[in-house]
Amino acid sequence: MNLIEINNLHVDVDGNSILQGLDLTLRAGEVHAIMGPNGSGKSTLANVLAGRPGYDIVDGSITFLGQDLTALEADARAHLGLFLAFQYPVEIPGVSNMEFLKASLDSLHSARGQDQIDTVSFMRRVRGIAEELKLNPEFLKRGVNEGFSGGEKKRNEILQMLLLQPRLAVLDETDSGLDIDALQVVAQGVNSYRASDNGVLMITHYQRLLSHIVPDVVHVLAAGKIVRSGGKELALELEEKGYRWLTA
Amino acid sequence: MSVQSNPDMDALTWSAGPQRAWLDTEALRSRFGAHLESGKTRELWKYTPVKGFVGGMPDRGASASLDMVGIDQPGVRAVPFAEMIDDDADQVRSLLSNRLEAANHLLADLCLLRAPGGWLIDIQGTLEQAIHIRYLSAGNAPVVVLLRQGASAELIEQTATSGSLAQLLLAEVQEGATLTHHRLALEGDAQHWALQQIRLAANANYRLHQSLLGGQRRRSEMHVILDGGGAQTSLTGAYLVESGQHLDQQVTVEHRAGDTRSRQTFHGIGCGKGRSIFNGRIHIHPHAARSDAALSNRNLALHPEAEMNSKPELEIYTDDVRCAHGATVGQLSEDSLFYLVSRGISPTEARRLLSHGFLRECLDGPLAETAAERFMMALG
Repeated sequence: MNLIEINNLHVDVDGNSILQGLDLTLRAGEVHAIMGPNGSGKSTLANVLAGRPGYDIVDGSITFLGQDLTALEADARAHLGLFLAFQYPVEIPGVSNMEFLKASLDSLHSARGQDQIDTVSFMRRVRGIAEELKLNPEFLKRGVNEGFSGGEKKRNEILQMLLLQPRLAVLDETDSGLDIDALQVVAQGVNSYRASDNGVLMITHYQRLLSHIVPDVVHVLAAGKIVRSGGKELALELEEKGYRWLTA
Repeated sequence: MSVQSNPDMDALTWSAGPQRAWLDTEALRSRFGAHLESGKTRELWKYTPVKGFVGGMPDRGASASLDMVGIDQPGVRAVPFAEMIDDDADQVRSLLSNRLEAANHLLADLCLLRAPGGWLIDIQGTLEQAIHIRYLSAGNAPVVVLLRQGASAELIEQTATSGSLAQLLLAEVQEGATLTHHRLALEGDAQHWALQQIRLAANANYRLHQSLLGGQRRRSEMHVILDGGGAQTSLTGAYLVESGQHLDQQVTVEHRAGDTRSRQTFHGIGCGKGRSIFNGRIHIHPHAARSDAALSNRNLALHPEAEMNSKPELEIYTDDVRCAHGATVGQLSEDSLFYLVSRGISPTEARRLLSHGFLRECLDGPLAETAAERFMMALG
């Protein structure tokens, strides 16, 4: 079953053509990695999928769980089961993590016609995930990402992913800024999330993440297009040779 | 123009009233007249015209009724001005004339001239219980607070009337003493005029948590004087202005001694066609070396016709200081909004969460929840 199908996607940002005919299909149960040089359009892809304003789709289609994703607002995409782990998670002082996480989960439940989770069960669940990710549960009382280190912010993204249980998780450079211990914790989190009915699209610069979260498919994105796809061994080849042999 | 030739003067003041031992009425009256005519006054009252202010102030002879809790505990002596013994009267008289003399506090002068009485609250030692003052009715309400050396107290002030109310709070915080002050005024149709002047001696500490809603006319002046070495203050405030409301805040921190520290953090939201003015002034005097001052005032204009004015003013007369200031008027951050919406939260709910959070950053203390509830009501 296809989770997401992207066909001939062309995207402009501020009048500049960034994605220029991107095709990608990810099936349930798969993990795909997207690698590529700076400026190739990796983060644009992540933002377009999540529905960030300012990204103009000029051609092509994105079908997510059989629906036209581009017709949906960002919140409706989340309701359907799409999740973006941000490259730069935002700090929101004054709004506590607890309040933010509860509002997120409640909105998903309510959009899906499900009952809202009671506060005690919610707290238990969040604390369990926090423990798994080695995040001090005290962080729940603090403002969203307020005063967090880079690594804590990334772990908080993964915590949200584990709490919200999306069908497709797009991880935008979740490995950048992580030391090796944090990388392992994050990778364990992602691996525990993997299941036969969901998928992961990982955007990364580095091969090192892929030795912890083993992808089914590796894509190379260059100048707004997928120029090569292969198995996990492609990542090793890239690590060795760089991108130039593919983009020249 | 001389004072005597001002035809408004008798209507404005109450010099013909009963003898008030705590007041040098004639000196005050002449000072008031001079201040009323000065160019400086026009500047300070640019957004809240003096004419309207004088007309809107409580009547002469009118006292606000106050409900005070915590004045019966050990360490506190609360005395109405009219019942003060000579020593107290001398002290209050000297405070009222010396402290207010130079500051061009029109509001304080008028309040004193029109008030038939007032309160002295004299505090020693560490208080176990907060002193809670509620202003129950329109009128003039001068209060002098004296924190003796090394004392420590918490003062809560809360308005409970929409009528014309003039609050004058003059606090003397002596060496090593600490005053924590919570202020709440949430009547959206009020005519309130408040002046708080706090003087800190060496190593004294003053903390303010303030929550204000705009009023029909609300003016709030805060004047903190760091008068002794090592004195410090931290002022935080949250405010909100709805349609048809007016809120004029003037905050001044004077560093008059070395090694003093001040922090000001004020967040405000305009959520209707109303007007907010925030003037934050830091004045570092000569000889106040190693002063460390910071002022941050952030405003959100959540309505296209919300008028949010913010002006930081710095006067620095010595080199060896640290001083930071920032004033912004803007909208909710698009990045923050998208972050919340990407998690499934509706844009309306996301805006509500962010604007609450913005004010909550500046809410603390026993009145925080009351303020938060009122602000949330306005923000939907």
